[in-house]
Formats: sequence, C-alpha cells, structure tokens
Amino acid sequence: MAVKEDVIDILNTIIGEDITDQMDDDFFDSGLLDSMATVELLLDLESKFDIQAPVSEFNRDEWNTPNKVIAKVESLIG
Amino acid sequence: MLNLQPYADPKYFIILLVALLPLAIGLYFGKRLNWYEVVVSVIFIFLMFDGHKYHEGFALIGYIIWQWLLVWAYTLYRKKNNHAMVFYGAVVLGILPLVLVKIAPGAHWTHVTSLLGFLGISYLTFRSVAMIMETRDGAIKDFNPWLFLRFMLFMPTISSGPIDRYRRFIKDITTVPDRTKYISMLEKAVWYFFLGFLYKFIISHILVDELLPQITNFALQDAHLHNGWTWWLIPYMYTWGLDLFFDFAGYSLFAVATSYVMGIELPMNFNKPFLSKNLKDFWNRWHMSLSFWFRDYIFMRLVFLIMKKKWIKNRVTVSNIAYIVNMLIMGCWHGLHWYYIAYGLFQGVGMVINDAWLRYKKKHNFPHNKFTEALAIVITFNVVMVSFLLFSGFLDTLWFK
Amino acid sequence: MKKRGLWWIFGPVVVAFVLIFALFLAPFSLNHITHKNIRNASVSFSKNTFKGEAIKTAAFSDHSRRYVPFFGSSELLRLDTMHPSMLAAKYHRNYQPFLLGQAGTESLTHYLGMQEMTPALHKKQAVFIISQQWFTKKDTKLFFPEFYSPLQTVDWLRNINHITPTDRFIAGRLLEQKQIKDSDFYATLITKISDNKPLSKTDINLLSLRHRLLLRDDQLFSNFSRSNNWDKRVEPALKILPKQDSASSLLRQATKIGEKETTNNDFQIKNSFYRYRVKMRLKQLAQSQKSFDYRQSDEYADFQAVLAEFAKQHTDVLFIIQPVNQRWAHYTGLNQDMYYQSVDKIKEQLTTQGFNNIADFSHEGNANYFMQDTIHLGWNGWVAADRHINPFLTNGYKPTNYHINNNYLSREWQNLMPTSDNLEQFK
Repeated sequence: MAVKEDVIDILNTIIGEDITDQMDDDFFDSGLLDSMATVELLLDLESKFDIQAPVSEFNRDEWNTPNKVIAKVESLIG
Repeated sequence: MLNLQPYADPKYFIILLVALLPLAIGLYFGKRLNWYEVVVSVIFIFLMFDGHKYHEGFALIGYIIWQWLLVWAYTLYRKKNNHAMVFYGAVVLGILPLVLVKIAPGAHWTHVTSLLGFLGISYLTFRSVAMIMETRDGAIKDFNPWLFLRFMLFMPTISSGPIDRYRRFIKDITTVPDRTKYISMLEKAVWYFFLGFLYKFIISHILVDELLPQITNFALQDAHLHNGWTWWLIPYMYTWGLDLFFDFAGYSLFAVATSYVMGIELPMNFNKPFLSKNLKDFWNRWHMSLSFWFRDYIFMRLVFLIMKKKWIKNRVTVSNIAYIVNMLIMGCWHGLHWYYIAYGLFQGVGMVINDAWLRYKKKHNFPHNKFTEALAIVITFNVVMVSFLLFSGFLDTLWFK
Repeated sequence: MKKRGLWWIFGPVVVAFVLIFALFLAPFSLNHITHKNIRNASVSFSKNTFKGEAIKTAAFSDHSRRYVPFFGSSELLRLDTMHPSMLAAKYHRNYQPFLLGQAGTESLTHYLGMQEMTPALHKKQAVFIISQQWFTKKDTKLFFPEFYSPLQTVDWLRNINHITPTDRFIAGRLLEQKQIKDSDFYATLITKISDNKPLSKTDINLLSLRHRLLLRDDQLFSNFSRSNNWDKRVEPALKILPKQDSASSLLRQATKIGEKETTNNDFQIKNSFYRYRVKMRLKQLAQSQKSFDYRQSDEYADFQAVLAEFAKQHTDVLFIIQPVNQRWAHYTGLNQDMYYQSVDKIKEQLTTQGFNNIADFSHEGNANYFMQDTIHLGWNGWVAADRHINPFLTNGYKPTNYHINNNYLSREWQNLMPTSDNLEQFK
C-alpha cells in the first residue's frame, strides 16, 4: 500500500494538483504531464524506490495513468 | 534503365501494389511470406538507387555494413560492460557518416557527398542511433543481424520515414495480424493512399506548380526594388508552408499505407497539425515520428542527465536549455544553412516562450472558452508559418543570392 | 461478412479506376470550345494555352475567323491601343492574331510549340517577332522549364518521319534539360533520335497512348485559367481607335497616346513601367548593360531549328526585328556596334536561306514613341509594324522558296563573332 501513496505523493507534487480523483485518466492526453515532468517523475521514482527506470523503458502507453504508473513501479520493485 | 523513385508517379503505385499483392494475400490467409517480402524490398531499393544514382546505392551498402558492425559490436560490449565513454563513442560513430554528409556541401567536399551520401541517410541514422541508446538502457538485449537489416531497410520508409522504433517494428514483423485486424488495416491503407493522392498530387501540385512560381516571380521582382522586402512574402509564406504539409503528409500517408498492406503498423507522421493550440501541441502533431524521436532521445535524455547530475537546479532553466538545444540540433539536422539553424533557434525560443505562457496561464486562471481556443489556433498557425518561411530558405535567395 | 468486407474496401477503388480509364480513353472530345473561348485565348498569354493543343487546334481550324499565329516574347504582352490584335479586330481585317509567347519564350520553346500545330503552319502564314535579348551567351534556357510541355515533346517525336539534322540537334538540346533527363520514358526515346536510330513500333504505340492521355489532360484542365484581356484591354481600345483604317491617322493617335503616357521620364518609357521597374534603381542601372553581348549564343542554332520547321511546313513568315529604346540603351551603355552586328548575323541567317520577309526596325529605336519601354515595341512601333503586317497577311499566302543550310545549327555559327566579312564567308 505504501507504494501507491508514495507514487500519488510524487505525482501530486510534480503535477501541482490532486490527482486522486483521476486515477485512470491519461495525463499525456490531458496535458498534465509533459516530457519535462516525465523525466522528473522517473528521477523521483528512481531515488524513492531505488529502481532503474531508464528513458527507454518508458513506453507512453504503459505509463499514461496514475494507476498504470503504480502497477509499473510495483512490478519493477518486485 | 528503369529507375523508380518512391511514390513519384502513378506507375510506381501500380508496380508497387502488384508486387505486394502476393504478400497481402498471404497475410490475409495468416501467412507472412518473409522471403518474398525481402526479395521485393531488395528489388525496389535497387530500382531506387540504380542508373545514374548508382553511387548512392554503393553509399547505402557501405553505410548499412558500417551500422551493422557498429550496433553489433556495441551490443556485444554492452553485455559485459557499460562505460559511458564507450556509449558516447558508439553514438558518435553512428552519426559520423550523417555529420560528414551534412558538412560536405558547405565545406565543398564533393567527394564526401558522392562517396557517403544517399537519399534517406538521416532517417536510417535515427533508427540505428536509437538502437544504440536503447541497448545501453538495456531495453534491447540482443543483436539479431537479420532483423536489424529488415528494420533498417524497411522499404516503404527508406527514403524519408516515418521513423519507426526497433522494438515496435520487430513485434509486427515477426507476427501476423489476425484477419479482422488485417482487413481493418487494408481499409485504412486504401483511405490513406487516396488521401495521400489528394494531398500530394492535387493540393500540393496546385500550390507548388500553379501558384508558387508566380508568387516567387512577383516577390523577387518587387523585393529587388524595396531592399529585399516585399508584401509578396506573405502569400509566399502561406503557399510554401501549406505545401510543406501537403507534400510531406501526402508522402507519409503513402509510406504508412504501404506498410499497412505489408502488415506493419507504422506510426503516423501528422495529426492535423494546423489545429494545434500552442507550439508544444504543434510538435505533438507535426512530423510526429521525428519530433518524438527528438523528444525521447535528445530532450528527455538531456533533461535526465542534467537533473540527475544536478548540474542545474532550477527546472525551468533546465527545460529551457533542453528545448533550445533540442531544436537547434533539429535545425542543424536539416542542413548547415543559416536559415535552418535560425529555424531551429526560432522553434527553441518559441517553445521557451510557450512554456512560460502556459505556466503564467495556469497560475493566473486565465479565461478559457471557444473564442480563446480559436485565437490560440490562429496565433499558433501563423507563428508556425513564419518559422516555415525561414525554413524555406527563400529569404536567403531574396537577400543573399 | 468477410468477403463483403473486402468488396466494400476495394470496390470503390475498382470503380474509380474504371471511371478514370473511361474518362481518359473515351474516343470523343469532352469539352466544347466556343468562338468566344478562342477569341479570349488569342490574347490570354495563358501558360496552359501555350503549352496545350486543344485550344490552338480549335483556333486554327475555326472557319469563321482566320487566326494567324504571332510568335514572340514579352512585347506581345504590351496590349496597347495599336497592338496588332486591336487593329485586326477594329478594322475587320481578314486575319486575327493568335498571340503565342510571353516573357521568357525563346526559339526552342517556340520550336516545340510549333510541333503541336503543324496544320496551322502548313502552307499558311505566320508572324515571328525576334528580340535580340534572346541571344545571350549564358542562361538562354532559364525559362525553358516554365514553358516545357510533355505534350509538345510527344508531338515532336510523333512528327519525325526520318531523322533530320534538326531533329538530332533538338534531341541534344532537350537531353540537356532536367525535365527530360528525369523522365526515363522521354530520355530513352530522345536519346535514340540523338543517336540517329529510328523509333520502334512499340515506341510509336506508347507515344500515341501517351498523346491521348496528355491531350485529354489538356482538354480537361487547360481551360482553367480564364483571361479577361479581351474585355479589359481589347474592347476599350476598339472604342478609341480612329474610325478609318489609315496609317496616318493611326500614327497621329499613337503619338498622342505615347506623349500622354511617357511624362515622368526622359527615356520615353511608359510612366507605369518607369515608376515600378526603373525609378528605384535608376542609379544602379546606369552603364549596367555595358557588357551585354548578343553576338555569340546557342540561341542562333535554336532559331535555325525554327526556320527549318517553317521550311518543312512551307510557312509564309514575316519576321519582325525589334529595336531597343535608344535613349535607354545610351544610358545603360549597351554597345551599339555589338547590337547591330547581332542583327546582321540574324539577317544573314534569314536571307541566305530565302526568308526575305523581314521588317527590320533595329534602326528605329530613337523614333518617337516607337518603344513602349526599354526593349518592347509600343504605340508608334506597332503602327510601323502594322504597315508590314497588314499587307502581308491581307494579301494572303504566297508559295515559299526556302533552302535550309544545316551549318547554321553548328557550334561554329553559334560562336561566330559577326563581321561583314565572315558573315558572307560562312557557308
């Protein structure tokens, strides 16, 4: 459970608004996350969870909603 | 000798589709005729570079061997080690032929141009350099010499893209779409071919062959009298800019349609770019396979590097620098002329301003309605057109020739 | 369901192809050209008309009006009151000019254009206006791409019965052009001509198929650019021309108009031309033509090809040699000796081959209101031209007696620096 809250925390800081009510919305489509913010997200996740998330791994179709990001992080930790 | 330039005239389409027919029938019945596809592709590539273009054909062969050895060697190395310098070295060697070809015209190295240059070199470079970078990231683990060649030499896109990604491409080429899926791809292919005909052979023809020569003449005559300035620059700008879209989008549609017939879902290159609401939006809709390549392999990597090494703390500064570097490189890639570089700078500064505006807008809760949206589209369209005027090189003709 | 799916996708494509083939290969004409269309086209200067065949064929086979081809370049665009088109219309002469040419058309372009209107030339009359400015040393074919027409190339190839030196020369010239080089089809056929090899049966069949496609293309699309020159330029002129067709009253009127329209400069250049094209750069233009040279040019050989075609068709031609505006030539430093030597070279080329209908105005560049601007015939110039054109065309066709000398196609002639001695010696 802790992973989910931490990821939401990171996303909220980067995006600058609360995203808990839009967990399945595509944040690239809505323009909430741009390439710049994406890199920040990757770096924050990297340092927070001590995982390797290189830019190549970052496939926009697999990382485009908060829930997908959480799933992805969980799989990388596991 | 028969020489076929891709998508140039009705003859090409007829020959192409007849040649692809067995392949399509195979896919329809769930079989990918790999060998047939390879033979057809080789013949078409040969016909592109034969006759008086034979030296380009040799340059292509040399280039492919070079990249093949390079990517292979780097993959072998990466399995054992991962030094940054070796990675940078491999990237430099990968782009070296392209860099030489781009410098050659300005430096008057005619032998370099004829030895190394061929139509499509830059698009092939994007593909192989991306492979090196993904190999470093560990996303690509093995080198498959055969798939590498099929990826690099994928016939529909060899001359001008769209730029595909290796991992995406091999997923398609090693499988067969099921029948419903393939039928829907064929349906799209037909639609794209005909939309492409409209774009390239009707609209672009009217713009370039009917309108542009007249406008160019008026502009040159008038500018002669008024120190290089003329109102004719305005119609020139719109005509040339619109043509750039219709010509290139038409070409891209042909490439995508052809690859759909071959059962490969090539990414699209354009998505109604002139409806963009801002410059950032524009680059998500214009020459998408190129701008995404630059986003993923230059912009994001540069930002990642700067932030990870903590060279610069302020994220706004980081993104501004990355935007300008990104767009300048894109400008240089088009060729080392002042107007391409100016175009890159224009786009880079445009992105910086655009970003500042978006931040300001978010902070101040700016009104947002149908009218502001329409205004945004109009402004973006015109900013883009001005950048295309720079890009056209016409100002160079007007002022320095 | 699935079979139906494929049919829904490809059915429309098949139908489209069938329709296209029907449209292009249907053996009947799809457009109707009226007398008014032809009249408008005769003064339109439209590139489509110039490159195409449909309108020209209609014009030169029109029985209600005798259209005579007027070949030339930018001077034809000077549709002022005394222009041959106006005079013929106003005084109901038994001919009406069909203007072929505009800024940038030179001999090679005209030669190809003649190929698609041979019936209009065969034992008929024509007027050909020469500008010395065509005969430059470099870049003579700068405008060729703008006027290049595949239809004319096909016509030329189809017209070749046995290959003549002119055909080989033209083949060589065409093979220098990018449009030809880039097209395998044309390049292959034209290389054959250049190598003196006759075209095969297949070649001829392919050519006639292509001719049909291009002609249909021409019929369908060449009408797109409509011109209102007739209503805007010719009709008003008809109202102010004198009632009587007399040279003296025309000259009076021409002088009056010329005076009125050349008030803002000392060169007798039309006001608007001076204002827009000269005034701003007047200083830079001083002595700017000092190094101009019309004596050595490949254009002489292109011109020879035109003469050969006239001879082949037994066309009765009147040649008009345009002067340059003397006041302007003096200001820009154009070398007078050079200019007259180039005129002599052309006249030599014409007269030695039996082309004796020449209206040489090269010495009239100083006459009042003879030129409309720097190098183009104007008011009084057109009246003077009419004194040759009117009797020539009104009296009708006279049998010709031309004897073509192919040496005029040679490099030697192109590069001959003309003096009165070596012109006579050239054989």
